[in-house]
Amino acid sequence: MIDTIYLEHRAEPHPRTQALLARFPKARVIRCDNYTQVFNKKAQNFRLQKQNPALILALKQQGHVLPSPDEYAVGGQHNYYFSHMLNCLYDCRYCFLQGMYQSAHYVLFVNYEDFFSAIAERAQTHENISWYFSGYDCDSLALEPVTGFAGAALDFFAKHPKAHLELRSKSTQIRSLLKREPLSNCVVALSVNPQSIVEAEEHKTPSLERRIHALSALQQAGWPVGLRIDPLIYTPDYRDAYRQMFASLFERLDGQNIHSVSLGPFRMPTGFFRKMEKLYPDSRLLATEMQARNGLHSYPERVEREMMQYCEDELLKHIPESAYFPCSGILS
Amino acid sequence: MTQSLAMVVALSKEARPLIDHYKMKNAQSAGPFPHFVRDNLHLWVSGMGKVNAAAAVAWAASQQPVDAWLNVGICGHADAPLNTPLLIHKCTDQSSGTSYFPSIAFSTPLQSSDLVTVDALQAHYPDDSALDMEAAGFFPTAYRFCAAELVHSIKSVSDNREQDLSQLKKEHIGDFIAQILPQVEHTQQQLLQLAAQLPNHQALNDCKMAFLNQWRFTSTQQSQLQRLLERHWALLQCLPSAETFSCSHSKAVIAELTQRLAIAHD
Repeated sequence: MIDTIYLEHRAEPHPRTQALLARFPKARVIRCDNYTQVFNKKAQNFRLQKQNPALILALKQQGHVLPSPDEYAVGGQHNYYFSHMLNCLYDCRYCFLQGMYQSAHYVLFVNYEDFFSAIAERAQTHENISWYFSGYDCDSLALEPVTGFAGAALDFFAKHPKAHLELRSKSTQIRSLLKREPLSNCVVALSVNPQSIVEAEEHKTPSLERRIHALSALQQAGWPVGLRIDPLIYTPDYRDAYRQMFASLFERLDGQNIHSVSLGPFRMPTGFFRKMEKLYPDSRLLATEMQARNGLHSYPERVEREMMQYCEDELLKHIPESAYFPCSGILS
Repeated sequence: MTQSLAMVVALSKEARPLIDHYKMKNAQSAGPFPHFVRDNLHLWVSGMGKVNAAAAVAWAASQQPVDAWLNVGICGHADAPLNTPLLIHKCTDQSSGTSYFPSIAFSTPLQSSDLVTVDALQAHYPDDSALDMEAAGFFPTAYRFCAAELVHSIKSVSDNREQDLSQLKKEHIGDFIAQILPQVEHTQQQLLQLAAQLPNHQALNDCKMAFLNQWRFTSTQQSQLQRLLERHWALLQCLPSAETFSCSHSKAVIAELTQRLAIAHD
């Protein structure tokens, strides 16, 4: 899977680096002074790099924990995000990462302990609960067998009950979670979309069925689970598609005991959207009628309102309103 | 496959095995660099040194569209056996200290290597790095004309600590390239396959030309037309025929195309 590893000189002595190098003994190892020499260079092409991404091992020097976008919140007052990794195993055509970065290589910051120190420090500044979202610039679980990040994070959060973690993912790599006692301060939130959307736009991801299976197993094991239905993707038959997806989900999940469900329309900073159009002019999703409003690209106002309203009505047939968190689109 | 690839080599003696292998013909162009061509493959002989390599790339790019670039040549290496083919994964310009990291977006069984580009022939071989005189001029210049993933350098080891430069005979230079022809061909094919994955829709370009020949579009309208045609292809899996538009001016064409796509959306 990984045939090239770029290695920051300063990250080389880190035990996690050494373990990863041992895991991929056949990979070509290329040393660099700073990961930015390799990642996100102007001439790089995300679409081509996605054919064979390399792993970049680096140390995160600063900005380990940052305030999160408001729409990430699932009921908490103090919300932060952190990115132990940049980029993702999957290839979702709507993903903002392909508009944000020139590079599809996976950057893994191996100094997890510095993230955890920063989280502990931040959590101490709040009297009550604070939330920490993983999975903003990457998928929290997709590379878990390689990175072991979630396992390390859960060890940390188990000792810091006032700090709450969201692992956001499309992955079904949950074995390490099922092997341990569930944590009430850790939500495993899987992003879902109807299977037709998964097939058309969420390339290389597990099927909806497999995600439902993983969610069900986690919920039965006692883990707080969440659903992230964001972005909603328009198709002419979206009503049927989303209604059937909700039915499938809540046939197997206990909707009354779900931690949180967020719902958000497709929206994308216009600059990112323009770049993605150039990368994938043949994409049906990106060719669909969109409008630019307030610096964001989204579906026309009428379409966005109808989709949000329909899906909200359907969703609330299955879950309590207290677990529902709409992500504001352009309209609000 | 309509994508084109340009090989850049420093010496005529390095070029000869490639010209023979690909059955290239002298392009008889009057430019500053010898140019050989067959179909979509071009070969330019730059002369020695990174400045010549950079100039040859710039000249080649100005002469015809190039989708992928491949630098082929000989190199020194501390301990790699002679005739070892090396795909370069890091190139450092010794004089400036600047490094370039060719992005290998394809699977390859080739051994890869660091490379240091020096300004003059030298007898000292650094550990774990190949030595050449061109790549640090080739890479940054080629990056100006296409994606980094489509710019690579493949070298054949011609001298090492055991058989150093003093033993390198000019008449054998071509042999080192001849020994790595299968690896050059494999890499060249990989690069062309990769280039073919980038959007380069000949039918769409032809369609756009049909519109441009029939109406006068402003520069902004040409961009709008391009995107509307791309969307037409993505949504409807076909392209519109300019002949089916009975519009008197370009603005009306844009409006009608937009309208057709709105209907497709619903």
